[in-house]
Amino acid sequence: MGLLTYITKKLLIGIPVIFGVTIILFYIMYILPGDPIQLLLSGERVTPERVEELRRAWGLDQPVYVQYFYWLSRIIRGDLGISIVTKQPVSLLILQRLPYTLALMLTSILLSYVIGVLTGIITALKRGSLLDSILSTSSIICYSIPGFWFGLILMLIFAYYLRLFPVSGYEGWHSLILPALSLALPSSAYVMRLTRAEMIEVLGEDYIRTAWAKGLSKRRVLLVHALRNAIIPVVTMFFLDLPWLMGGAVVIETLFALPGMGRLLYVSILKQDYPVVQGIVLIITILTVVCNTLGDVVIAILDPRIRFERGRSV
Amino acid sequence: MPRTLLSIKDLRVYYETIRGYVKAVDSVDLEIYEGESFCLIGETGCGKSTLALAIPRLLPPNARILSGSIMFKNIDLLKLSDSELEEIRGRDIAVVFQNPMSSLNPVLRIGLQVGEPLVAHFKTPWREALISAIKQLSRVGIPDPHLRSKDYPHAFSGGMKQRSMIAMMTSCKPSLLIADEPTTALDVTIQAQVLRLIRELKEEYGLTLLLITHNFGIVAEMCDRVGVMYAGKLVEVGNVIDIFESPLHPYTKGLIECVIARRKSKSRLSQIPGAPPSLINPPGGCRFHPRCLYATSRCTSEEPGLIEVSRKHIVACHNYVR
Ligand SMILES: Nc1ncnc2c1ncn2[C@@H]1O[C@H](COP(=O)(O)OP(=O)(O)OP(=O)(O)O)[C@@H](O)[C@H]1O
Ligand SMILES: [Mg+2]
Repeated sequence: MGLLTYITKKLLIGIPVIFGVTIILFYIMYILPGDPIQLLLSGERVTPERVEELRRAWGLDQPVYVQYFYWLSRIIRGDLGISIVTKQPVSLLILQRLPYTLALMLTSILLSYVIGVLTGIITALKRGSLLDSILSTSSIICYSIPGFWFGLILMLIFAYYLRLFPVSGYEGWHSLILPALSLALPSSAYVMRLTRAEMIEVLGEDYIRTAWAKGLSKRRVLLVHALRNAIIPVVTMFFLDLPWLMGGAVVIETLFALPGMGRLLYVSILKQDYPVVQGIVLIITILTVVCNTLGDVVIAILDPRIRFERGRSV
Repeated sequence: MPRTLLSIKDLRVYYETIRGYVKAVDSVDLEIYEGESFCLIGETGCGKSTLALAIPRLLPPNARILSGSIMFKNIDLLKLSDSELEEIRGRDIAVVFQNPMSSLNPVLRIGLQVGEPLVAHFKTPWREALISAIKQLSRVGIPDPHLRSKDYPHAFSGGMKQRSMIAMMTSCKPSLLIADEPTTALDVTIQAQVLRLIRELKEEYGLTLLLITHNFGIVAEMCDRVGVMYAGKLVEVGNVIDIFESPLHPYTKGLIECVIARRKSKSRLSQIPGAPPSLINPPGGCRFHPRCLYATSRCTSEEPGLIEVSRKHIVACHNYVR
């Protein structure tokens, strides 16, 4: 099976997954306690006739599946509803915050994978050396410290004492550095350990001995023959990690008072602003599905065996 | 007088383990002549692979070369730096390994892997190297080499993988080809084809062949001279005919009797009594003495040196005197 067929297949599988997710999301909203009309009116007094009229106007008198399709068609048109608290469109609220969160997530994941992969390779090649012990030990420490605590320490040192970065709020791209670092450090420790383990395993493989036997340079053996194999699980992790970072972003954005989607989610949960929560959850799920699909595709490009096996079994 | 291509003197290779040193190759002397086929034979675990892989210095990290010299074309391979070794590996000395299933890189195309040595050693541009790779694949009998060179190893059968390994390792026309049990992992029907291929390429390129096996049938078919190893020691070296018709060492005699007995009775029961010794604490004196029918008190205490009993027929045994 060709690479292109495989990719198309993966992309096509992604679509029903997203549909499934919207059904679950809609159902959760449907069974949630509280009458949407009452929420909309937020305590205003109106006649029962008026309530009935609104119910019809919003399609709430229709069966569940009809309501679902109404809701779905609105979402597809980009209408995620109106925030109960601010009365602004949810899509607008999210669009305003999304760039900050995406910037934070991308910076931190790139930081963590660049640091993690580099130190992982170095420690694998210098296994048993002093440098290896130092980096391996500090990686355990980094890995066991939660991100928000890191955030506090970084904030204290670099923002409060050294005044190199703003303590909180968004004042330009440099406001993202400390939050990105606090998200990146624990995860880079994990990436390092994974890279190191994979690299050590691959270096013991027969095909690496073959590469040496051919008289290839050390550079080529390590970078082309070894790393090309060792990196595959790391790349898989990368795409699995990406949406998962959102969870960390909620805490870190709140801590650093960044106007991102994570903080919006946090505030909306506190204020029970369901439409906003729902919109954000929808975005996160779509992001997760997209990342997984993208991950599958990249892995298939990197690892020809996967295409082959799936190609046979499907 | 044939010219010596490879001369190993007093080579000792030990493996460092938590239970002590495994004396896998202990004071081995060996000469290999230009253009010949030399077979190394012995039971499993006697140190054949260790000896062979010591030559291009491809031993695992816990191996220690404690003494000796390996002269190849008047260069001591044990004294070379990493970059000097790089130049020799794959170009002058090539190795075909036992397990083709795991010896090719799973994420690189076959054509690239076969053409790679040309790029590394002769700075051949990749385009040309890939074309050479296709020719080389066709030479070793891969059907549709144009298409198959774009395949990844998983799409190849075991036999095709080993053929590709052979194509890759002979692409620079090395002087010495080391083949470490190249057919053990293959189907019986394919074994003969792969051996024939190696023999053909040897003639075609004028290679010297160091073949490792524990199969006397392969020895008879492929080789000019034979070295018999036992427990890390080279115990007998001679021409194929001499070894088969008048083996000198009691261990060689035992091995050949087993083969004959097996042929006759078709049973797999016949073997030399006793088990090979531990290489961490090998028996003193002659390492074979606990299993030897002719052992004397001298054999338990004094290690036999190599003696040339008849012309070019060398044995390490106290039962022979010059
Ligand atoms: N990396 C290693 N660490 C420790 N001991 C080893 C290592 N590699 C091999 N040995 C031991 O060294 C001895 C010689 O091994 P070697 O692989 O050279 O034998 P061999 O004659 O090639 O056997 P086979 O016919 O099974 O391939 C064996 O006893 C083996 O257990
Ligand atoms: Mg072996």
